[in-house]
Amino acid sequence: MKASEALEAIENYVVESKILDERRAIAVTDLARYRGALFALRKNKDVRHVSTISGVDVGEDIAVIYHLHCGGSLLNLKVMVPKKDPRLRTVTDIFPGAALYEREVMEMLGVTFEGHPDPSRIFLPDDWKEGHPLRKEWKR
Amino acid sequence: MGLMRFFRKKSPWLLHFSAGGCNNCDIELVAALTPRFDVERFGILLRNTPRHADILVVTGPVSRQCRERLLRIYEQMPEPKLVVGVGACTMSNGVYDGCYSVDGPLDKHMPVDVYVPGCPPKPEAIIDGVIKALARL
Amino acid sequence: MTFVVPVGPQHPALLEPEHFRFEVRGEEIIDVKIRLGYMHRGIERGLMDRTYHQGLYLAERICGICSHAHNLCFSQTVERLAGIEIPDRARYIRTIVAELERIHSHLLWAGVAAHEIGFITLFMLFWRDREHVQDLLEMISGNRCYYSMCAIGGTRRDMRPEHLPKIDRGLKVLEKATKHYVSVATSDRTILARCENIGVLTKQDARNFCAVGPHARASGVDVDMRRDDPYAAYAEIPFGVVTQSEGDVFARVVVRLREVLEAIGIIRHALNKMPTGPIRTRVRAKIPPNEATSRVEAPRGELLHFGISNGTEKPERWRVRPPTYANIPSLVPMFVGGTIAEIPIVLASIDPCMCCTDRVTIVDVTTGKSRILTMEELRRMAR
Repeated sequence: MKASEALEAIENYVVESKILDERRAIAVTDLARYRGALFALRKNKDVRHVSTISGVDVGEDIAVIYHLHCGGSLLNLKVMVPKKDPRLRTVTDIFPGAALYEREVMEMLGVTFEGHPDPSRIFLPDDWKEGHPLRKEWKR
Repeated sequence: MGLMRFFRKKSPWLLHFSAGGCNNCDIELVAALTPRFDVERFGILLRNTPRHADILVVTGPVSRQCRERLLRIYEQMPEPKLVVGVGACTMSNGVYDGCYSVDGPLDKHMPVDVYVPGCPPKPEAIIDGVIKALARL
Repeated sequence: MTFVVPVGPQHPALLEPEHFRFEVRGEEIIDVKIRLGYMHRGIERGLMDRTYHQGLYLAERICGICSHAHNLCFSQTVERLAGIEIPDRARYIRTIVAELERIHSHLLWAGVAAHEIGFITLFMLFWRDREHVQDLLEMISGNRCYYSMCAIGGTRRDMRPEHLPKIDRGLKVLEKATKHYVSVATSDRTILARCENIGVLTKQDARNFCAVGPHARASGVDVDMRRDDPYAAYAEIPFGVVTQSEGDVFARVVVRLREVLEAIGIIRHALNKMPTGPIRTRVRAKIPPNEATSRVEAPRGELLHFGISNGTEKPERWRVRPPTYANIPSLVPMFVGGTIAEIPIVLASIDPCMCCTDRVTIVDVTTGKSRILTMEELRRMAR
């Protein structure tokens, strides 16, 4: 699948999109439509593989990026979550393989994925109380 | 007791613990068992219980999650015991120095008899380190 | 009521610590909970505190076995961020080292798997043959492990004409040995009894749980980054993607051994077609703001690095998703329905490289009691 084909499937669900090269595309969506975008990819293009989910602290918001394997192309689907209220609905019902990635973003950046089947600690030590290490304001 | 010392030196049993390393030192340690290097001809065996071990071989920069377990294993080993730190991580956290979640060097947590530098040290260097440790028994 | 059996953390023959919590009814496993983190070193944060050049060496040490894959993926991501193309000769050298690493990794794994089923002689034989690959890697790069062959913009070292006959001899030995191992694995009754129909992962589950690499290919999922999202010199080299359909431990053994044979073919082709020319392009220390992702088919599967640059010499953010991490969720359907005795070989069959588990907790739902089993005890039950 070319990057342009992947973008076609979600054109109604994105705020902006950009093709970087034949196999790379970025798209930005919003809180209201990100699940619709993911569902459309699954249903219309048989995209089943989430390569990973990254969280990036961009100041006022946290960018949650879904890296989706679209048959050889990679689509980075970004949704901004405000730091004051960092909540998203889980996508494990659409992509069961996303479970561990969501746990990691929860732990490292403090985003809550509502409805996650097992939101327990995954990497940080049992006695960790020092906050979210990948937030910009975090100090050792 | 002279006889016991003789036997311990001639056939030390190692206990290996990976304290959160990248696994390369562990692989080079296990490679020392394999036919090219073959430590068993020196009487060295890798055991799986602290109660039977003479030498504790530690790799890795002592990640926080592993620390408690490492100390518990050290305490379970009977005297006389030796500790060999394999790899740059045990000496100084290696490349991970500055990362949260690592808590080396190893001698912060227990007395160390020999450090084997390298990233990872070759199996020959590890064997040499173990032999040097035996001289302290 | 569940019976909990934790195992580990310290292990007689390698492997890194993790924690699984199994819920059992008698001997049958009904659920698994996963807890990682014994190996967590805070590398993503560490990469943000280092320059790209320093980060190259930290990224390489994320994993000892697939070090070149991380080295390569990191360099490729930085090169994408900087918008540069590397010389052709560098792409071919990177490919050759990547395939040599695949061979060493699969032979290492095969030895560990043999050890898990109690076949110690086979473990020794695999690791003895693996030393040939280590010698070749040491000759090319200067080190048995952590070859650091990729520099940002190309490769750190060139290959010399005197290397070629030695590589050729080494590959002949490996090819003969691997063909022998394939015939042993497919005919030895002990191996078949211990591996067939064990730890089955269906194609449906492999896709749903986003499994990658030989683990997914053994369940019939036809995916390989070298063919689907080509990098280095793979677009110019013909090779086959090995898949099996049974999805059991035995299929995983066959896929990996056949991949060793394919890797030998790729190296030979790359050596024949190796272009002449420079091995490195200069890249400025400061990289303008950009975002890039690179994917590499590491020996264990799809490895992904995602980087964001901000105009300075240090990245704004770096995300690493190693292949074993992607394969962990698929362990759940593989374990459920099986027995406790199968745990070591099923776990080993995904080729876990994460400073992983030694430690397994088994929880019995009928009696409510918990039990701690060491890996050695599990192995004894399994033999």
